Formats: sequence, C-alpha cells, structure tokens
Amino acid sequence: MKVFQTIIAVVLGALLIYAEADFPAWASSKSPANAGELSQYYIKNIYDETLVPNMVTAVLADYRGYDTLFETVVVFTAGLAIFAILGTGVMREKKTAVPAPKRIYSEPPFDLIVRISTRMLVPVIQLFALYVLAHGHHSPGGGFQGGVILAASFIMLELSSDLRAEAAKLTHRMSIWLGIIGIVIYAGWGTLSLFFGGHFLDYDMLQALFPLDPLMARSHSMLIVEVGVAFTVSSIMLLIFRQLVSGGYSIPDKQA
Amino acid sequence: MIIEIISITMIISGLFFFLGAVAGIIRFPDFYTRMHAAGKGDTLSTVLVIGGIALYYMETHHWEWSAILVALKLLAIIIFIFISSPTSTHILMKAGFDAGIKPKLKENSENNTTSEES
Amino acid sequence: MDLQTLLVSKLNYWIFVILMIVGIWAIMSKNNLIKKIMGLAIFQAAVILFYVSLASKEHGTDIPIYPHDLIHPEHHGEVDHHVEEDSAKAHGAYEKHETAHHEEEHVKHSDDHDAHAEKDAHHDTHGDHQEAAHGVAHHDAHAPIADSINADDFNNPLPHVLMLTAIVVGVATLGVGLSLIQRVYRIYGSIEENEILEAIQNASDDGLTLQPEEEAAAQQE
Repeated sequence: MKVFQTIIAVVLGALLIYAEADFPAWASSKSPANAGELSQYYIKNIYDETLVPNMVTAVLADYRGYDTLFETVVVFTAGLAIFAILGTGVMREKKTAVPAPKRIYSEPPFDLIVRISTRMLVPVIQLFALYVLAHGHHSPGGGFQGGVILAASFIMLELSSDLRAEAAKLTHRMSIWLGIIGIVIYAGWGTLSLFFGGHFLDYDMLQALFPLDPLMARSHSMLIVEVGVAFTVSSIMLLIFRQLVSGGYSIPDKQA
Repeated sequence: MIIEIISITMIISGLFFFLGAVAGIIRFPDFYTRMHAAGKGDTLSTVLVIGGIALYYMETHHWEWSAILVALKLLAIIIFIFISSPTSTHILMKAGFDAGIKPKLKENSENNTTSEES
Repeated sequence: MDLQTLLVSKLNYWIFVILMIVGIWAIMSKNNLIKKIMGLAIFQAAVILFYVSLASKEHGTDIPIYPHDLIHPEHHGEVDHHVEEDSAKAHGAYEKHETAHHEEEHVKHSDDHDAHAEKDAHHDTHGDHQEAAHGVAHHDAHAPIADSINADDFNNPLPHVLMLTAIVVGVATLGVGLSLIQRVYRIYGSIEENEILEAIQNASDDGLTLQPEEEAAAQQE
C-alpha cells in the first residue's frame, strides 16, 4: 500500500517537473504575472491614489478590501468552530474511550525566573505589536501581523502561569466579543461610506466626514480597518491556543 | 576596511561557537548537559553574528543616524534573545526534572543517590 | 534544454515541486493523524512559496515599498521659493483657463501639470499665504510620480497580497483540524488511522457509542 502511494507521489512529481518546462524563468520581468497590466497599474499608481508607500498594505486594505473583510470573518468562524468542537463542556457528559481527566493541572507552576522574565518581556512585545500595526503603511506590517504578535504576548502570559487563572481574566466570552467588535469596525467603516453616496468600502467618500482630501481619507481608513482586523485576529488566536492546549477544559465548570 | 575585517571575524567566530553548540547537542550523554550546550550556543553566537552584521551595516552606510538606529534595533533583538533563550532552557530543564529524568552521574561518586532512591 | 535553463533559472519551481510532493506523500501514507496535518501544512507552505517566488524581478526591491526619496523629493528645502513661483504660475494658469475656457479645453485634458496647477490655484484662492504654502507643499506631495516609476524596479505586490490571505486562512483551518483530532482522540482513544478504523468497525459490538447524545436521550426516556 505504501509502495503504491509512493509511486503515485513520484509520478505526480514527474508530471509537474515536465510541466515546468513551459514556465517562465524565475524573476523575469516578462513573465505574465509581472508584465500584466494590473500589476503595472498598481506599481505605478498606488502612491498617487492613496498616499501609502507600502503597496501590499494598500492593495490588501483598499483595492482588495472586500477580500480582507471576509478573511477576517474566516478567522472568526474558525475560532467559533473550535469553540463549538472543543470548548463547550460537551465532552464531559459523553461516554468516551479516553475518560475526561479529573484534574487538569497540578499546582500552578510558580517559577521566579519565568515570572520575572515574562513580566519584563510582555509590555515590550505588546508595544511592538502596536508599532507593527501602526506602521503598516510604511513598512511590512499591518493588522494581521500586529494582531498575531499581540496574541503571542497573551499566550506567553498564559504559558508562564496558571492557564485557568489567566483565562478567567480574559474570558472566552470577552474573546469572542472582541472578535465581533473587530469585524463590526471593518464592515461598519465600509457601510459608513454608503451614507455618503459611495459604494461599500469606498473610502473616497469619507472626505465629507473629516476635513481631508480623498487621498488622505483612503490612507486613514486603511489604518482603521487594520485596527479592526487586529482586534479579531489577536483575540481569536488566543482563543484557538487556549482551546487546543487545554483540550477544552480551560473554562471552569460553572461557565460551561 | 578594518571594520569589515572585525565584522567578518565576529560573524565567523559566532558560527564557530554555534558549531560547538551543535556538536554538544548531538554528542553529550545526558539530557541536562545537552540543554546546557543549547543555551550557551544560542546566546553567545547570536551576539557575535548580529553584532558583526550591525557593524558592517553601519560602516557601509557611513555611520548616518538612520544606520545607527538600525543597529539599535538589532541590539534590541540581541537583548530579547538574551532574556528569552536562557529562560526557555531553564524551564525545559525544570520540566525534565519534574518529569523524573535522572542526571547521569559517575558510578562511585558520593553524590550519586540514584541507587538509593526508591 | 540545457542544464542551466532547466535547473538554475527554474530553481524555485523545483523546490516547490519537491515540497509539494513531500506534503502529498505525508498526507497519503502516514498513519498518525498529526503527521497528516503536518503534511498538509508543508503542502500549504509549498504553494505559498510558489506564488511568492513568482513575484520577484531581477532588479526589483525585495519588498514592494516606494523608497523614501522617491516620494519626498529633495527640493523640499526650497519650498518657500517654490511657493511664490508656483502660486504665480498657478494664478496665471487659472486666469488663462478662465478667459480662454472654450478654446483650451483640450489643453486641460492633455497636460497633467496644468490640471494640478488648476487644483492648486483652487487651494490658493481659498486662503492666505500660509495656506498657499501649505497648499503648494501638498502640491509637491501630490505631484504625480506615476510617470517617474519604472515598474521593473519593484517587486510585484499582487502575489504577496494573495499569499497573506492564504497564510491566515491556512492557520485557521490548521487550528480547526487539530481540534478535530483532539475530539477523535477523546472518543476513540487513539490517533493512529488503522486503530480508529478498527474501533469504528467494532463500535456496534462494544457499546462504544458513535452517537452518544442519542443514547443518552434514549436512556433518559
């Protein structure tokens, strides 16, 4: 059986390598991806239309903003799915092959070195996360990257001490609420421009709301939707970590 | 020219210390000694390699303020690795000790209590 | 098809194919569920690598960001001198457009600078000199740089954008997959595929229920 599978994999690889002969050479400017009209338009015109030096953030949050909105919704839905699979106390009543453990954690591990170093590092990590979020316009960064770093700081707090005590400080309900708030910020900002006569997520029209010209309105709106994305991504990543690590038992019994 | 030589020396010695750490991880006989080798190699070689890179960068950009700021950011990376890597080594060793891994000691030494522990 | 063309100039495709085949083989032939998920992660990484490698150009920058001196050109130091020149030029252009509007409409369409001078004159007529300076400084910042950019100098930003979405969605689905594995482990007691299949086949004999809620509901009745 394994031989059969290996043969399939090797045949697939050989077919792909045979198809490689027609691919354009690496890093050529004449390849269809690089010489296409859309790519050239973006490279030439992004600064003139949005005043944002980082082309990737401009395309992600403005030109393809609809896509990014639903990417955020996908992250939120994945968090909800994990919560529904693992975290609602469903596993405790069912008769299962592996019985539910009676005691999840022993004494919360108190280690002075870990406590002190976590205490030193977490504020710096959170500040760096906010820096990455705010500098998405000028350097690689933006909402997703900043949100993940922010989640990493909370995960570090939970790893270094008692998971249940830390989970009680930022409860599951609060995590899901923060995820919802992020999506509401993003979709709400897009809906706001409907009131001014533009399309959904058309940031040009928001110049009537603030005394700005359309280019700066687009640049600032990108920052606001990235903040929404960071809310959702950070809280859902934390939720995913908590559920996976504890097998769904990070909620105390009375909340389940 | 001199700065380039210094930075190349730093990078190569950083790699040399990393090689020693890797050899230690593979060849040491016991869990605790292997973790010790990992913790050592991580910090010292990181300082040397990143320090060499920072020096080279500042030199090729003629010691402008923007280059010094970049070198300060690299220094922040070094500080972060210095704080986090030995802590993780410590916590891994502690977890190993709590899980019951016994250190490998000499047979007839008086510190060897493993045969007496029940 | 000489060796240099086949191997070197298509190196990224070789790496992509090898990683993808490793991922597909791991999904197909590993017994452990976690190893299958890891194969899926390797496969996703290979696809992301493929797209990002398509975005590079020979003399392009590594990250598609406009460099600082392209956006803020160096004559910012002489902005006062430019204020008076440009505002005078703008006023002259504005009056020329007003008086000979019907004749010079085609000029407005063809000349970018005149169009911007017209917008700039619009700024100027609103306020005093300070605002004019601010308006002209804006004019300097908004001066279209589209013509001065050679698209070959920058990497293609579009595949980077697509792959950002792909990475995030991949992480989310990986999380869901891992939680499903935990659930499977809890119910069947193992994460090896052959043992799980045996447990499913023996399920009706053992009493290890597959739909426990129905059994619990049946017990309550």
